[in-house]
Amino acid sequence: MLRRRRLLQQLRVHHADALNWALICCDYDREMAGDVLQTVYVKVLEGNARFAGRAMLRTWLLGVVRNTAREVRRNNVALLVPLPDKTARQSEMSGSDVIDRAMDELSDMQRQVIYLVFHREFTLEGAASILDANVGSIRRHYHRAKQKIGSRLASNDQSDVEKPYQSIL
Amino acid sequence: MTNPMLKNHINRYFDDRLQSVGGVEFDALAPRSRRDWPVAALAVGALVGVMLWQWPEQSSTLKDELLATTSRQSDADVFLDYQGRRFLYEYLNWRSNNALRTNSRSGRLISPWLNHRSLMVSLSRSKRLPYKTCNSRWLCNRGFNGICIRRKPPCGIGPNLKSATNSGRT
Repeated sequence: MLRRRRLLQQLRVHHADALNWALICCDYDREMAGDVLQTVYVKVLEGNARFAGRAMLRTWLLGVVRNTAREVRRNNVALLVPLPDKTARQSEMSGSDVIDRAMDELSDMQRQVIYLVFHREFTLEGAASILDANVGSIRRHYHRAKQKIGSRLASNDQSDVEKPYQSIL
Repeated sequence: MTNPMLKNHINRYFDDRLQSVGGVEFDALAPRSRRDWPVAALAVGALVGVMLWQWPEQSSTLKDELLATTSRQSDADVFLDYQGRRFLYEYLNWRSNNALRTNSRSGRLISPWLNHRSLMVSLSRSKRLPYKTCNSRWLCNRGFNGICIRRKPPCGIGPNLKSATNSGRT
């Protein structure tokens, strides 16, 4: 009982992070992210996913979320609604949304790496632990994602706002 | 090294996307704790309360059923006053478990409805509680709660199946 109570407290602390990460892993599908997160909580509380202490609790939890999201998406592949065409969205967006466009063009893995490293400020090693991949692979995804964003910025010579980024990428 | 402006922009991109989707409360997703058992106990208690509250309607249904078997309402009332409901439920339960029986002598199927009806009539007219033991000198021990249902016992509370199933002792 005590262990369960402590686990619930820990899960409550990391709930916001886990939910955002589940949304990222589920292509911003709120219902699916909720299902994934609930499955994760059941796994954790029933001991089907155990924290061995090899990483930080948050890192481990995000890894469980990611694996569960993969399982759910694999099982529901026929039910997935195709996302709107990204090229169609481009025509609707203004030139100042060039980074948004670039982010939409990234692959799922690249977007996840960018999210973990930029938004959640994980190291590449931490991201590799969450994504269950080796560091070299994660580093390659990270650099390719940055290259894509850089090339998008370079090609967007109409906007003056994003130009300061180009020299950095 | 990453440009902080670019980092801010990417962070804003993720924030906007995540906020547009909306959040889900932790309590809506977390499984129920075992500490919630009082809530479950309350729910079960409420269910039992509703069932007990419905009991008078069930007894009235039994009464109607009993009235259908006898023409005298007072007999039915007496039967119910004797807490015959419990006996009737037990009897009906036993009856459902022994619904298809054949008479040992004739081999004919004993109709449970006829037995039930005749027993009800007999019980309602006797105005007596069922005996624990059957005083029949034929020593019938196949009846429920000591009540002879195969032959007419001397106590007078068992059914007379002679006319109903043609299986009685002549």
